Amino acid sequence: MGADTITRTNRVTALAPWLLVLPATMAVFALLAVPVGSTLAESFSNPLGVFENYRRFFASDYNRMVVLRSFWIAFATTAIALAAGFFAAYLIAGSGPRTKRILILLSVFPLLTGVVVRSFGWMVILGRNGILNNALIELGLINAPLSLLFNQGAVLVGMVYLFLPLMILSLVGVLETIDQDLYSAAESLGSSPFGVFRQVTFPLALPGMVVGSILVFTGSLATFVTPRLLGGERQMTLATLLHEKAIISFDWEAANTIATIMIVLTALSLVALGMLAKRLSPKGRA
Amino acid sequence: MPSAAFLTRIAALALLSATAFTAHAQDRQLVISDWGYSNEFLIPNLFEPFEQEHDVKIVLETGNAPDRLNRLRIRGGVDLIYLTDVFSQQGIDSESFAPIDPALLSNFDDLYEPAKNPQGDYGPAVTFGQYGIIYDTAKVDETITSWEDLWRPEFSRAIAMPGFNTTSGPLTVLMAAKRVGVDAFQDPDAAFASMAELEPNILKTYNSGSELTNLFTTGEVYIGLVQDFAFPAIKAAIPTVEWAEVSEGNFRMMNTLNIAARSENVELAHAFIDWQLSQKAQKDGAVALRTGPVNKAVELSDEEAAQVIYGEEQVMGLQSSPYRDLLDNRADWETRWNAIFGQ
Amino acid sequence: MQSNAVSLNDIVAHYGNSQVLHGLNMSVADGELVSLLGSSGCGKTTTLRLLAGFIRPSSGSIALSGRDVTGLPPYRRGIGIVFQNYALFPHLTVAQNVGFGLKQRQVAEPERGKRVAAMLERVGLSSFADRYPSALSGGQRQRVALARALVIDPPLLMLDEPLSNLDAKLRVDMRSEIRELQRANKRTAIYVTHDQEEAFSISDRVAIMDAGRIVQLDAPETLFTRPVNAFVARFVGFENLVPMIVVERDGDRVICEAAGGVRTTLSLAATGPVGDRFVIGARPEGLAIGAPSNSTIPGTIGVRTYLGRTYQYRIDTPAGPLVANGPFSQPLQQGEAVGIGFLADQCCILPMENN
Repeated sequence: MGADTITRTNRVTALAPWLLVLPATMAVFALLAVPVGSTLAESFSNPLGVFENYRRFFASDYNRMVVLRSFWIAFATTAIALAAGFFAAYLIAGSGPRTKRILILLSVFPLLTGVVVRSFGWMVILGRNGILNNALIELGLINAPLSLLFNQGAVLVGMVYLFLPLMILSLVGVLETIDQDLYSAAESLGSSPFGVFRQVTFPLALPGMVVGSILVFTGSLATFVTPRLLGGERQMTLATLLHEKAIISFDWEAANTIATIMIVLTALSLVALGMLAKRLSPKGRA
Repeated sequence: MPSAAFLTRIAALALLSATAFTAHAQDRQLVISDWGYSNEFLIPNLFEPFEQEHDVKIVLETGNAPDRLNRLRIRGGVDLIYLTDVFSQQGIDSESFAPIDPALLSNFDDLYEPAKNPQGDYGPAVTFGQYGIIYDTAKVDETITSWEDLWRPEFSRAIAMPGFNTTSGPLTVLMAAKRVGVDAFQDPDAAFASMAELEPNILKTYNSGSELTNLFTTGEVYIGLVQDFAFPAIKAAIPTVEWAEVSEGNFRMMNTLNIAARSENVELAHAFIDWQLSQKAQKDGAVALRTGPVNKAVELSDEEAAQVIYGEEQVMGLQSSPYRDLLDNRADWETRWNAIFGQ
Repeated sequence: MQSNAVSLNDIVAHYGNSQVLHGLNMSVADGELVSLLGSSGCGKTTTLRLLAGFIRPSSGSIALSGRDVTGLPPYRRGIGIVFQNYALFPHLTVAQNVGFGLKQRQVAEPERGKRVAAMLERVGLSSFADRYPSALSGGQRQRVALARALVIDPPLLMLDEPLSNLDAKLRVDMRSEIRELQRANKRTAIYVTHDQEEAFSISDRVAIMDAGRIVQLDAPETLFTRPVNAFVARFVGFENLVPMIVVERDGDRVICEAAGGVRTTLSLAATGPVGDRFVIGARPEGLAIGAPSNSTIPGTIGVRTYLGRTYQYRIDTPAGPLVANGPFSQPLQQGEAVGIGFLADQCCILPMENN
């Protein structure tokens, strides 16, 4: 073994980590960075100008409305999921171990099926011959079936159902870390049960609420199947508009533009919500 | 370590199989692009006979129209393509098709006039279809006799119609215009104002036949604006569904068969078109797939004829679809449409 | 009924289907510090939670300062509680923690701030007012918990094993501080602990609890010298419990027979007539090891343990094994025959129990 062999071995050893990581890095690059990058690049390469595609997109009333609607649906979904999820999580966190396990299983159960099946399930429930209408007619509350599908309500119901497990898990997680004695202490010091919720439970649950909200908000912005199945053309969101442009109209310029807009909006939402999280997090933890 | 002899044998086998493959590849191939909807019937009855007759392998490409047209345009590798007239017009406009020589088609003279050169020197129509109104007679008291009946207030949220980006979507606008006595292309404002009045009756727009079938079978709608290929499935599910006999007549939809500009099998392609236009193929299609035959010589029984567009009278009694004008006005109409139905 | 500060009457409590408190009766006078002493599961924490209002009794009543509070929720009882883990609100500063109870009572700002500052001064944490609990040591958190409970001027202060999370030295210091604070304000207090030394050192009275009952409630000295039964006796250190029967009386001298027929002479006035059965209790230092004789219990030295200033011997006797201490200067060998006598003034007489 000469000095040459030693330096060569050293060089190989030094390079080894990089070499081992190389296949995965290349895969990520090739399968993620390149396609996404080219989509972004495409949207900026209109011969009439770098931002021509975007100018054209936002010039249309219809498109602007789709963007606003997407935000609105994401916001409403998050708000409803927060309220319903908090209620559920509060019950779960306060249950005995066996009940808790069962309740968590039930909450997470929907995640076992795909999003298509879950959204489709709501079509069965809300349809004119669906379970809900049949029940209402059976009970004599209405005479003719109600048209419950293909409007914003149906979309919101489907979306909330889709994301509720995420929210519940985030909230249960944070609620369980709250020492039960804190509730007792607050009550013994004179706080009514609602006061305990307002002054102890809510502030300490805030980080979990923010995490859950981030997950649900960004998820709802991008969801395609639910608005497609339950909303139809009248409830066009960015995701379904993207599908329309790409797969049905074959308007690739518009599709790339929308894709880029969705990426940017999601990133901005993440940043904004993250900043909100920081502002609201309690300083000390016992 | 395997012996040299063994390795040589393996190599020889490999080489032989490779040659076998290439030899296979040298068999003639004809790539045909169609919707895929009816291939279960077409493969044994339309494609395989041709394969045997001409010693050629047919490779099928399926999908929806915009998809397939774009593939032909961008990627190539397709010889023949079935499209509705709207889309074949787009193909012609983008110079994706080769012109047809009628002299090579023995059945050409047997075709109805509208089918012969519907779009200039390009592919003939190979089926007739119609776009009209179907409804569940059990749920409607007063029969529907006109397109204008769609605007009846009692049909609130009861109708499903095709979305704008489908072949037949924009045709509804033409009827809306006719209802208020204007030409849709001259006076789009009035036409779309009329559409806006239809909006409350529309439950949902659909993009695929299966979607409409679903809406009917689940009872979400009981009136549909539909092309005839979707009718059998809906009728099977709901026997009380019937076509409306409208005074203005339904729209004539034509499926065309075109040859790709970049095809290298032009002669063979013509032979296939001729086969598709033959009495046998046309009659098979009419009976099994309920597509209206373009070949005048096809004879159908009364029962069979009831299911399709058949005979001079019927063929000529349909309104033609002005797809040229539709294409020209597409962008403008899309904006107007979205303003009404995108809310 | 005089207004005792605290009064528990025939409290029966259940946890699920099992009964955890069996007819508890207890009163605490104004300004008294009473400890609830016992090992885990004895019911002391349940009693505390009952008093606080976190659980309801199945039957019985609770009165504070003469007022029946059995039906009142915790936030209406006004009791100051120091929790075992302090239960400081992690999202509030020390000052906000201490002021929490005042805030619930609508005490407005300038007043509240003053009272909080005064209390922080009392517990020596003035400079920590703006810190968060996570930045405090165990002892400091303890003091914040105390301050928070005291600042609301509660009619009753309850402490749930407040020192169990501190190290030994701190424990001793803190318990004196707590006693000082309690005495200074003549505040009625109930103190829950499993540590006998802690309870005895600071309490006016101690309630020894076992299996959901108060076995004996007395001043520490009384418990120490006159336990009421074998359980308490063992609890306060009477390791040797020997059942006996009176055989002969001769004035002060009583001849008793223990198991195995052994007889011993006790100079005890507090025994009954001939035939009386009782149990005598002795601490290891309450037995005298000497030469075998007629008036002592014969025994053989067994294992010897070194305790620092004394040796402790396990002695086998016909009446059962005994534990006795002997001087360091005269070690005894295993197997030696000895006679065990009872030092009467250090022993206690207990009734015979059927167990």
